[in-house]
Amino acid sequence: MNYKPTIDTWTTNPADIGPLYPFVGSEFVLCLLCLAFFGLFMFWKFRSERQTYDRQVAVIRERAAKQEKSDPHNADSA
Amino acid sequence: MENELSALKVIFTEFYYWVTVVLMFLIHVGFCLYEVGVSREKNKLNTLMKNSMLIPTITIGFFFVGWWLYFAVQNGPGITGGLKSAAWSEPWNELMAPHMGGAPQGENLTTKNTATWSRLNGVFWAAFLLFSWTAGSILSGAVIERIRSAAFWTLAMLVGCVTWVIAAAWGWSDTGWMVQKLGYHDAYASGVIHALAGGSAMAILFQLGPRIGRFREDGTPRVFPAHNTWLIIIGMFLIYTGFWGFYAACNVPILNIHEGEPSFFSAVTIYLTPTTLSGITFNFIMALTGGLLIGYMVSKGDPFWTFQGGLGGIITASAGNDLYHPLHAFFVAMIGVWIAYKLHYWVERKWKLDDAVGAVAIHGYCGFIGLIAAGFILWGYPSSANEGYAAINPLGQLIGAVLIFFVLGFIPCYFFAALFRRAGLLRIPQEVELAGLDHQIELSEDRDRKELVEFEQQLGR
Repeated sequence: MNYKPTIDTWTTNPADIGPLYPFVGSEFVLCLLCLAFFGLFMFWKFRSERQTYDRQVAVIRERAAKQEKSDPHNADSA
Repeated sequence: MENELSALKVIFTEFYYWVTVVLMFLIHVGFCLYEVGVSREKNKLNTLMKNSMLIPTITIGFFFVGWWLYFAVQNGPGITGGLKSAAWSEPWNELMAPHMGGAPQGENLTTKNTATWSRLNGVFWAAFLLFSWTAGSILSGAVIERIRSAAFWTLAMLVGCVTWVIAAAWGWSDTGWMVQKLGYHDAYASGVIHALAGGSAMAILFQLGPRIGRFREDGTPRVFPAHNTWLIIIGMFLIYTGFWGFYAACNVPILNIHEGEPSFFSAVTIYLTPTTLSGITFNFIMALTGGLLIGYMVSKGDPFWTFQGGLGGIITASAGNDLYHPLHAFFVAMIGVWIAYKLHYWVERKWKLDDAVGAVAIHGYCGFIGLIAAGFILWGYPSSANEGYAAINPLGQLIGAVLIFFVLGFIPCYFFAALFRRAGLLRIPQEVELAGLDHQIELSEDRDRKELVEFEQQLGR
């Protein structure tokens, strides 16, 4: 394997050490990946939130309709 | 680092900011507790998640945009110069990561950049980021119990990563154009954080509307009792504590402020003007004292407004707390809280603005008033250590306050909140609001509980 780690010894002059992290040069690609994930996260959140509320509204309305039917006062008034 | 003294200076500064960041984290803990305490039982989990998740959303935005923007737009751009170059703050730059300060790998950095920023970039970035979370949290409290989380996080990112950062670049940096041209002075961010976030919250509230049942038919407001007073009180104490860290984070702890011989080291403000931690501690505590006293008095002992008064007092005095006498801070705090309290109820009745936690008043009005007060009390003081800048003056402070509250705070949020409203993405459905935002979780918990009871009964047989 030709891979050379950013740091391969700690015995050099510390003043000569720059970045400490591996894969120097990959920063831009990492940024793009992170932004893409975050974009997906926000898209997912907007969509799932809308779906969740639609579902909740349907359940609440359904339950209210059932209650209305089973309520004897409503039957009397009808 | 060239010698022991410069190494000590840099590493002490690095450590100092690291400590302030940890302290400032308490502001967010406090805001979470406070908001959850104020919300009704049926909304508490959603309220918690809405505020907590602004941490990752704003952090991403600030990593990619906010930090660079702070350096880039200090000249306007187009007012005192063009876009500034700040390679160390670009998200893909080697200095936005662990670095020992050796020669740069890329072309757009100098060895001076790497030597300086390798140990300070992360802690400065985090200190500013924590201010961004605070800005987002201020909005969060005002809009509880009816806003959709995704829209809220987007608006919080707008404020936390763009608008407050522009305000800071213009008025809260040593070369910002407002400092240069207007003599704008806002040492502990009365304006650039609090007035701006208050203006932003007000704009969103106009678009969002009040919670169902908040106002009676005759227009008078109903009180929605908080579901946990203790969370509110503990939250407020934590916000005070974190605010102390915030004050420290607004200073550079050690800098040589004398160009000739001998050197003279002091703490300085963001404008590189001298101050002392000792002095600002006097003023922080006296502002808190003034705010608590007047908050207690004007609200006739109401715990909510008393604690809010303490916070509002600090916010009002913050613009000039690097230079005030402690009793200036005390009286400025009192005046600010008194006006903000009165204005809160007037605005609430006039425009039916349902600000659930009084954020617009305590942050927005107090911040705005604090800027004006500093203009009068510090009239004629130099706004910067740099020669040729305008001196602090009331008109400059007023223009700055209007720019920050309305132009950078109110208008962008009003526009984006209107877009969300039109798209049906701003407010939760009425049925869900009445049932409670935690309705679904409660249903599922009920099911789980029932199943567990049945299982245990089966085992018992």
